[in-house]
Amino acid sequence: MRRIGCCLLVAGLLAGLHGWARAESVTLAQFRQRDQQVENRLLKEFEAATGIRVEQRIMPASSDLQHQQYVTWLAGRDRSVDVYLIDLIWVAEFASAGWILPLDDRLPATARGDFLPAPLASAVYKGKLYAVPRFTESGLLYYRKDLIPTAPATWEELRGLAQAKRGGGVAGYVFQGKQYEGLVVNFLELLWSAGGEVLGPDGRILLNGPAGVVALTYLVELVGSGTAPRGVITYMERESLQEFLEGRALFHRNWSYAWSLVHREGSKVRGKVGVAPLPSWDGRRPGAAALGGWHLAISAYSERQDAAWRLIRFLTDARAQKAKAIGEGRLPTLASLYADPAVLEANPHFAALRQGLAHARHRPITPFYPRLSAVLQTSLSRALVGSSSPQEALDSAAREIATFVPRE
Amino acid sequence: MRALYSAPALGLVGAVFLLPVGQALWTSLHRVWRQVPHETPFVGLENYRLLLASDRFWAALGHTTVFTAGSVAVELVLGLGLALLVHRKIRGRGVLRAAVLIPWVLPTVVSSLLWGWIYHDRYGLANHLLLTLGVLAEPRVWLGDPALAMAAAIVADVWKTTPYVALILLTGLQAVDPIVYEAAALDGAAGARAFRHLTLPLLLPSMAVALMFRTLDAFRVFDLIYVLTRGGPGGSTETVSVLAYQLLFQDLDFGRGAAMGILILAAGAMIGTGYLWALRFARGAG
Repeated sequence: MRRIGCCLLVAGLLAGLHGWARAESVTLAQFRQRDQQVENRLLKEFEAATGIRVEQRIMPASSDLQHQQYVTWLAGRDRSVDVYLIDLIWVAEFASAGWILPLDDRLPATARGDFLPAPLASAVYKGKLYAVPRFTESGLLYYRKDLIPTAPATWEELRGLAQAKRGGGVAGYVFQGKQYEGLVVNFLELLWSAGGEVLGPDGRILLNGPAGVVALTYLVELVGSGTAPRGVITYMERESLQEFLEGRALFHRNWSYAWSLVHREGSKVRGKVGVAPLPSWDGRRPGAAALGGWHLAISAYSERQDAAWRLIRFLTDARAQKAKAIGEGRLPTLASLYADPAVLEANPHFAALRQGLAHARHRPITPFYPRLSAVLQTSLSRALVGSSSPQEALDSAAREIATFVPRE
Repeated sequence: MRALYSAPALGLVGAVFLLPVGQALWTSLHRVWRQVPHETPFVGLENYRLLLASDRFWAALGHTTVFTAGSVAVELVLGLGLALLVHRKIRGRGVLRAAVLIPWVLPTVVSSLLWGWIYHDRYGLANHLLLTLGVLAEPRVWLGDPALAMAAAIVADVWKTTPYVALILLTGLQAVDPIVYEAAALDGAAGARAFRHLTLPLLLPSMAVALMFRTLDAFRVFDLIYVLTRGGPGGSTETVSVLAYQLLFQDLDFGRGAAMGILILAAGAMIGTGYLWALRFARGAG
């Protein structure tokens, strides 16, 4: 009898311990941060201030692999992860699947004033806020200011300059052309600047209209004429940036984070690079850049939602974002930090990048975006390698997309 | 009583094989789009019909067939050569046998990244070698050309899995009693004749095993392709497993993804049965 009592006591203690440990800890899934020490310091501060322990689940760097892992966990109603750092293009998908929680009660519209409008809008699906922007990115044009005095105002001008000044082992324009999300981004930026859209407000597919065809034709001709080296068909961000850093390209499209890599010590093009907004199509409408970035969201299966929210609030408030901006060069999502002297001293280029962010656009907000993008990736790549004409490629993509994107 | 003895085995098979397959089968008969979690209507064979009616499915099956036939055929020939080489009593045989296995021991993701750099248009070893040797006049973008990309993937696979084929064939070679060769030599059969009439027939069972394993593996190829090309350029290297992955994890179309999985399973079963049947037939004839 005594033995049973003893066992019960131990079991009760264990259960209590278990409950206590669970209540006092929260799990955050995210990729390895640029400077993990900065991140760990922040999380330590959070633990000290709140008494809530943070467990990190480090994800693979590839965004596709993260998506796969998240989908596996969420579709399996995994309760062990409370907070996910998600690519902004997944917000609508995860929200629609019921995987992440609406946050309107926790962060009412009146408390969102300092957030930059574009990143904030990308965290909203069907009028509800589902995530809080942690850091942001936008597409930019990098150019060799030692060889090109002023950045081109239009895409046509860029093509002319690239064509005329390339040679001697230096290519004209290097972008991301591998069959993956990056290719879609490069295309969308051209499409938008040419006045086109993928989807109309009613869900109608506008992708294969005239703007789409001229935008894709432009990319195809860049590769076909050698203005962009043929190798771009196999490049993602890293490979294309490498070309530019080696001094082998006049123009380069990349995200804002590339700026700090260009200026890093040992860079062959340090001090020779200018940065500008992506060109306009016709010189009248401004150019369009894609918005990138990562948001924090609470898992619908989390049992520690209040603790999860406190972590999100901590990591997205001005103090933490400032630490990330100074320590890692991450672009903050709060407008006020772009006027903060300490932030600007560490990142003098932020003032210029802010301009790019103002014009940045988010990719179509639909639960089917990853699927839509997958269709586009194949079709665009097919046009780039010449297996089909731009018009054919876009027509077939539009037909395919129509089978799953709902019409309103 | 006897049936009871097999119960644990049956239970295990049921739990780890039949149950998941049953669930996949069930899912494949519904429209399950994770983006709309509350509508999962029964659609019968619609997912299968959509797949079989799409060009993409047949293209993927074609790419998979080319990849499988190409890589397995080359691996068998090279693997046989390699097995014969390390079977001989030569100096440093132990070291050689170990060295041969290195590509196979590397995780596929690692060797795929390695090959990705070998194929790089600017810094890659492939272009460097071929340009230096004068085989090429100008660098090629190996993974940027639909015709070359598949060949490049096959070469990478051959590099990685030839040792595996060689290993299986080597065990086959070592199982042959040397007396057989001595007897043949006495009867005047040596060299090429002994190889043709003794080695090959005696190796047949090992070859069949190697072929079956490799065919099934190659048919389900995923990691190599995913790392090298992601199925590109222009979908030209999309294999059935890459397509299934795409349907499940990118499109979140679980119904069609499950249907794809079932089709791959059926194809694998057909390949396996085909080999077993051929092997039995060959044995019966011999």
